[in-house]
Amino acid sequence: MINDVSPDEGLYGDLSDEELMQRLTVRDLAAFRTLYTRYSKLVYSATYRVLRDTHLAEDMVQEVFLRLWRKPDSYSSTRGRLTTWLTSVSRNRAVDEVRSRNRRYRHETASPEEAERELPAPETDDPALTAEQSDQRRLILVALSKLPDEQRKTIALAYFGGYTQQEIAEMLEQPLGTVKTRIRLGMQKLRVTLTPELRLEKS
Amino acid sequence: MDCSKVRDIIDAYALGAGSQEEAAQIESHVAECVRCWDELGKAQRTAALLALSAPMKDVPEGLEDRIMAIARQELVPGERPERRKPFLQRVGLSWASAAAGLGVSSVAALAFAGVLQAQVNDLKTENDRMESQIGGTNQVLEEQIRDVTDVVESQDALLASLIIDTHDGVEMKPAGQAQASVWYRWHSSGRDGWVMCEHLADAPDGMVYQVWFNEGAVSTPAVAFTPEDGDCRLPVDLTALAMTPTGIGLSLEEPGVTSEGPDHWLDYANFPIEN
Repeated sequence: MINDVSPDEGLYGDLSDEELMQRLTVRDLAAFRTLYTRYSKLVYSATYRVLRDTHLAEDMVQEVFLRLWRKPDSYSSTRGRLTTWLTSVSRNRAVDEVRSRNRRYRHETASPEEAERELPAPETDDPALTAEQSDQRRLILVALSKLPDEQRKTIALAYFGGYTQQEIAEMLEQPLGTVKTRIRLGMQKLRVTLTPELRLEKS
Repeated sequence: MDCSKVRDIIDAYALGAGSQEEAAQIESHVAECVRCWDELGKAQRTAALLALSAPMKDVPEGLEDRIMAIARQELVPGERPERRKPFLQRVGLSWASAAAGLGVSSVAALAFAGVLQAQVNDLKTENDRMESQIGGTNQVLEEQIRDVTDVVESQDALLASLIIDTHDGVEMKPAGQAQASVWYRWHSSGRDGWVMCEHLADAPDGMVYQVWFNEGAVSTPAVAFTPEDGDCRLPVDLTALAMTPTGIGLSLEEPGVTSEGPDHWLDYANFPIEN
């Protein structure tokens, strides 16, 4: 799988993720720098979305990339694309961090209003992303934009806010059953819309 | 718990929003139900894609340098080595003269993984050229190719990578390239290796690149060279250096002069420790 190349990836810009990961196993610093260039913006954005704090997000990005550097075999292509793996690992670590903090912090940093405001327009491309990353991002943004607001908001609170369904029900002052239904229906719709992409992830 | 109930809560589980009790029920169920296990995989991949929907934020300046510095430090544990011998050996070798000199010796050449095929092809081309020049050495050349290929394909190759960005504030890279790299690769069971480089800028007028090896805190100049079209491929016989290097450095110096210490090296890296 050859990835599209963004202009600043340097020496190894034309190498696939798989080739770069192979080079990490022999401690190739240039390969590591290329992976950082290719993925740092996605990883930082995902962690910042959860943590809402520049310094915490920076620390998390550092942790995630150094983990990749120290243990490149922690990723396997059987676990999906590197893009998705890196960003979801980052999100998971960020949620762990948020959950370890107190409820007050979480309410201040991830309010439902914020979550609602921050759904980017699907047509927005970032020049720092490769074409493949932009395509993937566009797909998920389009899929999200097709969801009813309350389903999208509930999913965002669960995924990026790190809230449980019970906490979301209390926060939105909705019955727990309503929250569960929103998540179930919303995720099912996303799954249908994203089916082609999910097949790629699996392969 | 039956399948339909599991399907009702599987998405919340994939989002990490289910209760602990629900999580335990799902994990127990999918351990024995292939269909629900497959459904869980889909739900988890869907959830993972959500991370890409985060609004794009510019990565703060300085973070890359911080991370790369830590990574590099881990590649180069300990203090910067100090130079003991000012001038032990300085050999400028072209590929042709070196290859001819090495003859049928066990040439422990290791090509970098990504340029492996190119290196072998280059070697074959070079050998063809040498064959036409010196003639009658077909068997020798074939053996040399076989030696190189053996090493290229061996599993106990070790690698150190240097990144050459700037020198005295001047970018050391050809136009259109983000950075230059220099590698030293060798067969861990042998004593011969190769210094290879890619996209290395021409040395400033009157200067050459100097390769250094260090063993602990002691460094020794090894091979001087000027890159051709950004590339270099230099055989290094470690037996001639009477040392077991633990790292490599690169500097720019005037030919025949080694006045600068490690602080003036363009970059350095310790070799990884063999498992």
